Amino acid sequence: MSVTAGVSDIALAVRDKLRGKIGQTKVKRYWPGKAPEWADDADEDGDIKMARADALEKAFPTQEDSDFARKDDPRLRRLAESRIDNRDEVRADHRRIRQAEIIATEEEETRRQEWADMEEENEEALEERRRRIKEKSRLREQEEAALPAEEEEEEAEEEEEEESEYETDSEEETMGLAMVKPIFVPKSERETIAERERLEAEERAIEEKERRKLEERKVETKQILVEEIQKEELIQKNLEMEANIADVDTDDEVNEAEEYEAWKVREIARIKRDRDDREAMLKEKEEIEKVRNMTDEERREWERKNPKPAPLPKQKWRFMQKYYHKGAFFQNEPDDTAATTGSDSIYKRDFSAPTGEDKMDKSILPKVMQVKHFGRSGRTKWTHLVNEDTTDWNNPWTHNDSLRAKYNGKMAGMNAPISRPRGSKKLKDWDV
Amino acid sequence: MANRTDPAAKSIRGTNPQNVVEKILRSKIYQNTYWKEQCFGLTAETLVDKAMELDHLGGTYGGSRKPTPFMCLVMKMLQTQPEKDIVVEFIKNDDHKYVRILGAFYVRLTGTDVDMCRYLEPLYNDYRKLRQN
Repeated sequence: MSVTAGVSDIALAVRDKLRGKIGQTKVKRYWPGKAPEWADDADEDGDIKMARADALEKAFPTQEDSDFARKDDPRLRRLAESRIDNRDEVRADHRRIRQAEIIATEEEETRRQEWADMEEENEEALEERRRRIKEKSRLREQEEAALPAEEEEEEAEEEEEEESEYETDSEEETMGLAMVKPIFVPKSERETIAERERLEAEERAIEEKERRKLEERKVETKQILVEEIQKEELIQKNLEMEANIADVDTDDEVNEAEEYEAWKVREIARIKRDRDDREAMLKEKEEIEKVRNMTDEERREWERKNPKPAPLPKQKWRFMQKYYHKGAFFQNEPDDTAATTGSDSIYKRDFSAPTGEDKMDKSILPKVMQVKHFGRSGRTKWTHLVNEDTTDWNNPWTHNDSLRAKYNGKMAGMNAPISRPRGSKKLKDWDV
Repeated sequence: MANRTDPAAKSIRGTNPQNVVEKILRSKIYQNTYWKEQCFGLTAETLVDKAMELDHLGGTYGGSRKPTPFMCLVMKMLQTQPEKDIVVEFIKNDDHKYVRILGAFYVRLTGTDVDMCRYLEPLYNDYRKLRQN
């Protein structure tokens, strides 16, 4: 709720209440574990407690309306008469989680009782007590019959009961109801001893179970360990195997003979290579000498027989394909025969193939766009020589007709093949 | 300064012997941990011990082209420039093949052609296997 400036919320609340509205409930913050304000504003003093008790008594007087109060509200009476000094402690105590404590187990109780019985000298009382115990246990059994308790105690009890019942019954039948002659129960049939032994047997059984469990666990852990180790070994082996596959096996001692043979092959190959190279060089030299000393006709014949390898057909580049030279570093026939550069197929690819922009056919573009670097600042306006030619073909000296053709024929270097220069007459006159 | 050549060293091919190895690889070797830890202050004898521990040869490996210890030792030899006899001993020894290779490589880098013909040709007869990285 928005607090209007200058007006406190208390005032607002008061106003609301006066107007009949239910004022805004102020929710105080909740702190877990902390007693709310209304609970312990007062000090926890004994006197004040007394005072409170007195006040309570006044409100609910115990003596005058006594019966009514007493019977119906013993709780109130209890509260009023409570002399607990420190309520806080009690409250705190109340919050403490209590664990279930076993004060006494059934068996212990019965045992105790029976021992008590045994110590008693009065036989009658003994018998009576016995009977009482049996009845009680019978009742209890009936109650607990529903529970899925598999306690041996119960069985034992039942057995005991049956036995004792049987005994007592037989006794009763013969002797009558009142007096039951005490019969000597041999040690093996005594309930208590039997029970004790049974208990001990149980304990031993439990211990054995625990021991077995421990052993089993040990065995299990050992197994797990073994598995883990095996796994690790496998991993290691796999790694090593892979490494060995990748690695070159450098064991020299293995297969000496094979290695020697392999080396022999390699060495022979090397020697052969060297010899071939030398011979090839010699042969070339001889050939060059021979051709140089040939006459013209023989040379022509020879050339016909051993034609020069035709230069690789030049690839036709597309219209306005960007000029690319692969560079002078990678040459056709480098000297270094052992070089690894230039041997990869990437160096032998076709460098005149169109890439990127060149793949598009630029002839379909409008004339304006048929320019190198279109749209960029390095754009050139001029295209190619023939395009930019501004010769005026109408002039008589540029006009291509028969006169022009004759003149061109006389110009130097236009007609005659270069291989056989003939020389001009003027120069001949010079000699003479 | 750890990366200076021995001042008494001769120049090879007209330049600092360390320049035989190209600049990029050289910088990588100087930054390599093997170089910094193991190859500091090595002399010829201690270099032999290190060379005996080698088990592979090679230049660089991996995506970032790390230099191998072999390469670092080559660099060290270029830096200290051991005598020719020592290097010939490297080559002559028979048991440790990687020491031999180290010596041979050094001769190939720094030696004259006569040296190479004399010392390296016989190595053709050694057909033991080598692990290359």
